[in-house]
Amino acid sequence: MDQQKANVLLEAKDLKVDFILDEGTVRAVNNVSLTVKRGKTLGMIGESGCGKSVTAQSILRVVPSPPGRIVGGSILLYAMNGDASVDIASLDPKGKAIREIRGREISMIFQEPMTSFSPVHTVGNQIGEALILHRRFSSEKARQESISALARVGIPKPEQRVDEYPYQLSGGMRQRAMIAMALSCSPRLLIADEPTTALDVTIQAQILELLRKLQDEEGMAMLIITHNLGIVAEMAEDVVVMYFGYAVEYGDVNQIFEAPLHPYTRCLWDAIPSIDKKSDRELTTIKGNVPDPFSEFAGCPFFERCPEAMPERCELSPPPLVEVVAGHRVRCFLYEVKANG
Amino acid sequence: MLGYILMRLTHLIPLLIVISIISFIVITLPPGDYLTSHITRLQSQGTSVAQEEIERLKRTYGLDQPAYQQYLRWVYRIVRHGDFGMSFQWERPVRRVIGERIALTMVISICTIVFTWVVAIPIGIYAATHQYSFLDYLFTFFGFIGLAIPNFLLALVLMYVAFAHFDLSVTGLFSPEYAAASWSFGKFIDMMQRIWLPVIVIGTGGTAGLIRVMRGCLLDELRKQYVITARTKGLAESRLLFKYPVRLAINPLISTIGWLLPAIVSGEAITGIVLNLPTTGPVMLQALMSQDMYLAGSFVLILSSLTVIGTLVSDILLAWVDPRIRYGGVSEK
Ligand SMILES: Nc1ncnc2c1ncn2[C@@H]1O[C@H](COP(=O)(O)OP(=O)(O)OP(=O)(O)O)[C@@H](O)[C@H]1O
Ligand SMILES: [Mg+2]
Repeated sequence: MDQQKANVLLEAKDLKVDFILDEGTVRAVNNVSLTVKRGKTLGMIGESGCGKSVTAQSILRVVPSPPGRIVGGSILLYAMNGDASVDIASLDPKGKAIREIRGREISMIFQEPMTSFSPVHTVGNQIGEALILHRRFSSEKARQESISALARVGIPKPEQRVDEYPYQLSGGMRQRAMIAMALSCSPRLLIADEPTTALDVTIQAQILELLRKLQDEEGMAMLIITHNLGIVAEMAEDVVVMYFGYAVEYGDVNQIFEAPLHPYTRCLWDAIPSIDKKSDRELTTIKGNVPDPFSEFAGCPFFERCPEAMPERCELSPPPLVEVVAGHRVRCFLYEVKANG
Repeated sequence: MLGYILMRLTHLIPLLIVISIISFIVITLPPGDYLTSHITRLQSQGTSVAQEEIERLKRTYGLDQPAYQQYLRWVYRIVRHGDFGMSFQWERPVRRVIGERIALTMVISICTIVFTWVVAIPIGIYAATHQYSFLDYLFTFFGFIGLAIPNFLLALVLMYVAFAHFDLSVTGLFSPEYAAASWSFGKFIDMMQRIWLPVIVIGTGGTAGLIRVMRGCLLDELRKQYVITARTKGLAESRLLFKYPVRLAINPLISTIGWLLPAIVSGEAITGIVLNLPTTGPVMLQALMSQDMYLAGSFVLILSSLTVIGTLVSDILLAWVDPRIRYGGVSEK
């Protein structure tokens, strides 16, 4: 058990984030627990609006506030060696402690490489910024370092690109520059929020390849957020499945892909189009729609769409989190029965 | 950048020619001219004007020539000698009539612009970063009042307050002992002691407007992804604010500098009259009403040229601060 603990880099426990809006309260993240292991990749999947980005934003404490607020839980970031940890969830989001973590311990890349850069500052200026800040580099040294960072992510003619503006780069280039920027201070965790959604398929593959290569070189951990099950299968060692702000299933990639437990995960799997399925049946979709973000549920939020729903039971009280096999946790009543024997 | 400026300058020349022609047409367009109305006025007062006297006057002012020749003569003199022609009404060269007034107007206007920006930008930034706070509401409240009160009314109120409570007479730009004196350090100090009133009066509306614009632009920018990116790098909030969103929010305001230039000369005629300021506004109003052709025409010409030059200045400033414009702006989403 201690051995296992030493491998943990970041651990969210019962994280809760609310958005208090005029129209009501959106419980964007509900009691989410997840673990990112050192040097390993955690994939996060789930439909649009299920709270993936907000979970990621909470880890860096950049949830837009107001209206967003962390209302419960903890996010423990463990030190390089040993048990010492900081609870990110309890830090002042404007304070020095979290700023020291941002960009140095944990960095983030985003879906939209265009809007993620300031249009009026050069690429080099924006990449070098973290180095000047965290490493106290001179601006000349930061520029040199930016050039090698650009070279490392495979941007040709980096000494020229470094002085260009973001709009002068193509989409794929920009995402590479974004990665160079995030990795400039060799963080221990890289959060990638749909890093390839805005790119075309060939570029997607290149970017993922690059991320994997850099992960090997740097030994950093990653949290990859995506809609794309293929990306998860390919990149991740562990997977967390989100539904309506809940982490409904967490396990390693083999467990999740070979023995999915939660009915929602199974539905997701069934919805993947495949060549052999095409012959005999139509593309399966999950019945019903994602619930309105303002809705409140006494029981399981997936109840109405769930093919294995147990009336009464699932509707009335929130489902428990059950560890079915070691390291494989699911939030569902179906397994409570089995756990109780 | 230099190429861009040169290109824009060469575009300026044909534009200025067209403007001068239009200015001239505009001033000759209304039926009658100053001389006709002047003679009618004299005759109605019972003074008979001899025919040769009329002819002489016409010759002096060049009114006997065809319009295009009058135009060419006017433009030639402006370009060669800076001579804008004679003002009929003042019976003095136009340049003498408006020269010092333009300079003083510029001083007031530049002070007003500085006042507006220095007050409005920080307040706008505060209001945007503390949206819906008490002070935000307070600034919004005063902002709308500032926008709603006509300047001349504000001028009257301030003059009354200054006079009634502080026993100050603050009309005019100079106190009587300096008004006719030539320039000296004392006169300058005297002006500075009085200039604040017109600056506040003229600047209030603009300040209120600029606060709203700055607040709105900055709120837009603050929501953008690049702000979050910068935050995830670990930048402190204040440094981040001024390096990224404030910088981008000010960009569109720079284009408004261009419109300020013509407003400098034409603007605030009513305030000028109420406060008895030696500025251009009141003179221009008179010239237009009495068909003082060269005086009015010079105003139209100067105003239009200032508009064009102002736009150019704005564009150059914008290109300087925003690389997307500098490099011919590829807009891509
Ligand atoms: N700034 C915000 N203000 C108000 N509500 C927000 C804000 N950000 C997120 N939310 C709400 O929180 C919920 C979760 O949003 P989130 O962005 O985490 O979804 P997501 O899983 O990342 O979706 P997508 O796959 O579309 O990116 C949504 O219901 C959304 O409406
Ligand atoms: Mg998202």
